[in-house]
Amino acid sequence: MTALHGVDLAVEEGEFVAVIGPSGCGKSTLFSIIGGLLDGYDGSVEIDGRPVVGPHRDIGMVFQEESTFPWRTALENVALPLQLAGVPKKEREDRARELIALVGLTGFEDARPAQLSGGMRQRISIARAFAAQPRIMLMDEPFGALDEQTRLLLCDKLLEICQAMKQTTLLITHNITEAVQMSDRVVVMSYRPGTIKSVIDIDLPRPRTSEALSSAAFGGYVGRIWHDLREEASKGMAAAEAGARKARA
Amino acid sequence: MTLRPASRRAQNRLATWGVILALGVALQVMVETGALSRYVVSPPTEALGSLGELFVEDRLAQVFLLTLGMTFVAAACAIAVGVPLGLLLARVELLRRSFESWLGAAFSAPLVLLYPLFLVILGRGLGTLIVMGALVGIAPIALKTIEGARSIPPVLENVARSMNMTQGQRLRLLVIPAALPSVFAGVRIALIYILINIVAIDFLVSLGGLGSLVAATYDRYDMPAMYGSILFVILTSIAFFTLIEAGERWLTRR
Repeated sequence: MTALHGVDLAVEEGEFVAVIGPSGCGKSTLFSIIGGLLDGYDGSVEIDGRPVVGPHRDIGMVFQEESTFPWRTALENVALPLQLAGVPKKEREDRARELIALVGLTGFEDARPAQLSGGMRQRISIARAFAAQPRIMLMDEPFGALDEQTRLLLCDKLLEICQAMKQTTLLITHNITEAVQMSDRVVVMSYRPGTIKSVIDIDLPRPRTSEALSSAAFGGYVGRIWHDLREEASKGMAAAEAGARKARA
Repeated sequence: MTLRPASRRAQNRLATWGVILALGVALQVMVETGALSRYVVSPPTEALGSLGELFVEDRLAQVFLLTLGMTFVAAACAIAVGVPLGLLLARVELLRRSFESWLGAAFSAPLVLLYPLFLVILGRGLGTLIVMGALVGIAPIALKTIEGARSIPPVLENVARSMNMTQGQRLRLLVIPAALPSVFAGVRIALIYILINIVAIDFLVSLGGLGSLVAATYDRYDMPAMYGSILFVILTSIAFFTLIEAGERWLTRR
């Protein structure tokens, strides 16, 4: 089965790009390919024109699933990339504390993931990804498992950090609001095999927060993306139903 | 009303000791009333009373420490072999498919019956006890290590890969900590198996441990002392189990 076909996407330095598509369009495959977790594909991933094979120090990854190490404290989790880089303990702990403060979790440095909520754990994962100071942040539906209110607040927090750090970010999502709220550009993907159906520039003022949700322009972008996405989402839903019928037969 | 885990543990412990006490009282009554022969079963009070005598005349403390020491040395050997073996089998799929069922078979086999072989090879000494003890401990530790190392969530493996961890870093920072709770479960099973085997072989060949003491009291037909020493072995096992559980909770707190 071909998951992706003819995907040609360039992200500029400091840009925030969201890739949105229906379930089964190959978003997560794209995430794994760019992050170097998947091989055996045709094509190439390049940073500054140089091909990237396998995981790369310039790319930080935030996963959809719970990905903190449960046996490490929040501080130890965030400091992990620095530990791997051989940064002295004191220095890496100081840096990890700064990042924990940046994601608004001061006071939870010694807590283990089991003592934190899902949203707090995801913030630790984000802080951990920032600890490696990657040039490109790659996120696969980082707030997918959270409730809507927590998601909106965490999007604000992430936006604030990305805007302050001018962080180049590629966000994989299926949430239209999230894509518009965060991005400079939204890439809409078609259903399987995933191709780029349209690219929409989001011309909303920055710095941006979830307050932008109430603007008419925001609603306009959401409507435009949904217009492009609706047909693809219908195909995805039909394919899922056909699969379920086949499984029952 | 919901109980905190600590209160629930205390309540469970109280219930356990309550049942043991009730059984002891029932046994005492049955012996005292003649329902059970005093020549076959010693009353619990006499068995408990003999413990003092066992400490003084049969040097129970030294005997106990010898068995405990042998158990720990054998367990250390079993861990030293079982954990790396489990990690290797978890890593190399072909080896795991080839040998995992053998390990399962070794776990369920009565390896204690190999003791005459080791008596011939190693002689009638503590080395035989250690080897026989370690031998029964390797399989459960290796099996539980495989289980732990293979149940790491794929997303954590991806985190390790995305951070470019070397094989050594992956082992040290991901595989071993992730497998630790399962390894501990294996060590707990192994320690009990090791203790049982060491006491059993010591009972058969008298090497100066708790098994020898039970055998000696049996040989001199000292019923209270025999039951007293058996009771001590059981209490030792319980204490062992409790200590391991506490250690496990502390080391794998997450």
